[in-house]
Amino acid sequence: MPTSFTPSQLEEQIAASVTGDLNETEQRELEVYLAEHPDAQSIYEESQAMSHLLEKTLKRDAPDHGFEDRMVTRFRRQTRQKSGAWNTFIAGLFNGPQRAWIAAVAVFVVAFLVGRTPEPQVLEGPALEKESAKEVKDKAVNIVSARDGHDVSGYADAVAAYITSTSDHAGVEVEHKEHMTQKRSALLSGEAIPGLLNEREENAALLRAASAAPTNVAETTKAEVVNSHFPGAEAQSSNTNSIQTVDTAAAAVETQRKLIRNAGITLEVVNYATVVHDLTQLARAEGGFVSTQNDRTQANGRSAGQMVIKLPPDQLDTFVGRLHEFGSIKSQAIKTDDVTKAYWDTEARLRNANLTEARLLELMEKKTDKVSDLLQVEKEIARVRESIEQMQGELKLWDSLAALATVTIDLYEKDLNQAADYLLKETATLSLFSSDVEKTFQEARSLAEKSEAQILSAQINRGGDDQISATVSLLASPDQSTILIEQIKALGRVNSYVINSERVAQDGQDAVETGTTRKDKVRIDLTLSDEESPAQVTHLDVQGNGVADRVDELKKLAQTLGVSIRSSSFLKGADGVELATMVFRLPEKDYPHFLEILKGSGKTSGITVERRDRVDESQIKLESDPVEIDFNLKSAPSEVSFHKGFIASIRNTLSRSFGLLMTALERVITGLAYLLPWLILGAVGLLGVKLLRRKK
Amino acid sequence: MTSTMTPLAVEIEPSTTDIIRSALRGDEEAFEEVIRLYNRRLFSVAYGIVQSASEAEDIVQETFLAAHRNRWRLFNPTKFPGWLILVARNKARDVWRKRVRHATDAISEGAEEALQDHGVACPSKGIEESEKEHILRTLLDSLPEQWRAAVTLRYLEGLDHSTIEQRMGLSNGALRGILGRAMARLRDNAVFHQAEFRN
Repeated sequence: MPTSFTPSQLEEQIAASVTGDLNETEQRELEVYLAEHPDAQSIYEESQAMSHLLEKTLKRDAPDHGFEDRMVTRFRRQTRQKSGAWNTFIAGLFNGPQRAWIAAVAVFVVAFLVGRTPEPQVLEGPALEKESAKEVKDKAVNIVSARDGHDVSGYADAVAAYITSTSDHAGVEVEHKEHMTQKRSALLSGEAIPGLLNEREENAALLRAASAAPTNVAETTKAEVVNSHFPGAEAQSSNTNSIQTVDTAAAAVETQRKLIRNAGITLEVVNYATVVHDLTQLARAEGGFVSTQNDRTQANGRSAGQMVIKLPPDQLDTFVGRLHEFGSIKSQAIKTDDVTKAYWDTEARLRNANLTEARLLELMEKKTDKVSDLLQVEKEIARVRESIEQMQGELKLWDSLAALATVTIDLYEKDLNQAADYLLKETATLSLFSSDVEKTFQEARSLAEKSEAQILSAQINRGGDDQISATVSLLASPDQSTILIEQIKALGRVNSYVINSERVAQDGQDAVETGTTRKDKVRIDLTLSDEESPAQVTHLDVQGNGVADRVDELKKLAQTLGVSIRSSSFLKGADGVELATMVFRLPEKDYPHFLEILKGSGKTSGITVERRDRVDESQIKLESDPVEIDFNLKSAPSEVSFHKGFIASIRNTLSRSFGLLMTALERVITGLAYLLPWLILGAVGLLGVKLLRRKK
Repeated sequence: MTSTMTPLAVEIEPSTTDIIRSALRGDEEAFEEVIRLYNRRLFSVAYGIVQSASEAEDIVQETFLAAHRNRWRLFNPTKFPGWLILVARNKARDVWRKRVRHATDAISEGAEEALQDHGVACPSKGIEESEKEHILRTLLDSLPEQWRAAVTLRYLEGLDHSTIEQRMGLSNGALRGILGRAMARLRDNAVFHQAEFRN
């Protein structure tokens, strides 16, 4: 049976046939088909031709026998020629089972090194100055080395480069440089180059000087450069001459610096007067003077005081150094404020302001036609004038502060803190109950007058609801006080009585056995009130329903029974719980009956009875004693709360989990932030290794 | 494109694994052995893409050197052959792409011209063998990479269908389809050269 093929099937069969993949049956079928279809036959023939061509062409490209050997030989050449002992070692490190250990050790070492590096500091103030000083020093050294090589033009270039680099700074720095320029010129004029004396054009001068007399100018300029930026910097050069020049120049520049020096010393001395005298002498000998001095003598006869001494700054160290001869130094602080930069800045600004003023004055003379212009200019002049004066004041202040160092000496004699004597202060606080406050008040006053006590204050307060209270403050002499207090106590019933006594050291804190004790006047604070403190307080907690209604009921009941309600509050919580708090005050005889009524409001959940004992037992009158009941009525949570139920739970869960999620996220982010440097480190390390390999 | 980045799963014998392992640890003799084991295979991969023996040879060389340089990065010896093939294939593709980019116009137009000049314009004129080959290469270049690889494995290495299918990760019998389509494409593009090809 003849087989039929679709075009693609035919292609497949033909391709399989020419590539020798057809089995016998398939081959026969194809041949039968081809015999019947001339078109297919031609395709077959073309395919065969193509197959032949492919075979012929590609076979030629097939790797020959030498291919393998070529590969190996070239490989050998490429790898062997590059692998030295070191590379082999490095490569060996990264191969084999030990590489995990090596990686761990490397990580540990890196971590250790990272840990050892100091914490990064915020670059400001001294740190920055140091940095730039180092830079300048380096530059200066470069300049020196250029000069040492006798390469004059090179040196000149270096100087020029340095000057250019300094002029790169803006604003204040430029002014700074301007100032330096003047100083540099001044220094130059001091050197033996008279031809340059009048040269104010700094750069040109330096360059010309560099080519004319390289050695001198080089040293001077370098020294100046170093010192103006970095006082005390030692030039790192083997040239001793140059170092000496640096030192001299350093001294010269040092005097122009504005340094404000202060010292603060605390000195413990044996004899105050002698030391003050000796210090005054010493200050005078050192070229200084005592600016201010104040003394005080304690009750125990010990003296203390403060001296402020002004000295030439260079004498400060010797002076402070000698202070230990006068007593023992308890604390010492020497401070130096370098206001040089601020000073120069202000100076420069002052110059500018002066110029501005001059220009403005000029302007005012010229333009007199318009009044408004004139006013404007005048206003401007006033402003400039003001700032000029302010700056001048500042400079003067700095000048005066820098001209003399200030030494502040706090002096005190030994045993200054030992108290000479003590004062015993007594305060009696007395609270009395009286049915007739006004009468008792008058009685207390007359008692005080009789015992010659001093009345500090006396007043009667009338409350809104017929309540009346009074306070009296007395100062009684120590011997009278005991009797007076007893007399006052007899005036009514004592609610409370407290005596407070305190021993106060006079002049000093240290306790000393030998100190004498004096008794001060006794203060008596008396409070009178017609309100008796309850003899007994009962706390009663009851749980019941219909709290609000019950409260109303109880209020009415209390009124009929003559029980006073001291306070009453009612609140309904978010969970539907009602809570009423009431405080009742009643005579003790009515107490058991009323307590039963209260208990009838519901289920008693707690009761505590607190008995308050009287200060004076003899005065107890049981029958009429007031008692208080602190009554709490609470309903069971009956209503469905907003905070309960399915929705609330879901919401609660969501909000809580969201909070936790946020916390977790925050930690993850923080963690990543901490990880980042490590990742960078790792990446850099990998890159390094890769590069190393690449080179190999 | 098939399996561009995944290393091919290449079956290897246990003894080969040992050789590869020591090669990865820096044993250069073992590495030479690896070169001997895989150079032909890599060559056909590279050739299948670039269709140039000299370029393919360079690619194989570079592949081995790169493998040697980066051997410390590879932990698993069984993945090494697949990795080698992947590297060779990528390098070959780089070369191929570069060539296409540099000479897209030159080559395609040149091919067109070649076809025009020698095919249509003067059909009766015999084409020199080298020119025939040149045209054939141009035609091969125009095939999809997979087809080209199949043709290369069949004619360059002379492998049978089942081996090629295994190497290329093809299902049983799929190669017939690929070769059929490749052959048809080659034939169609070379339709102008019927006479010459039959000779």
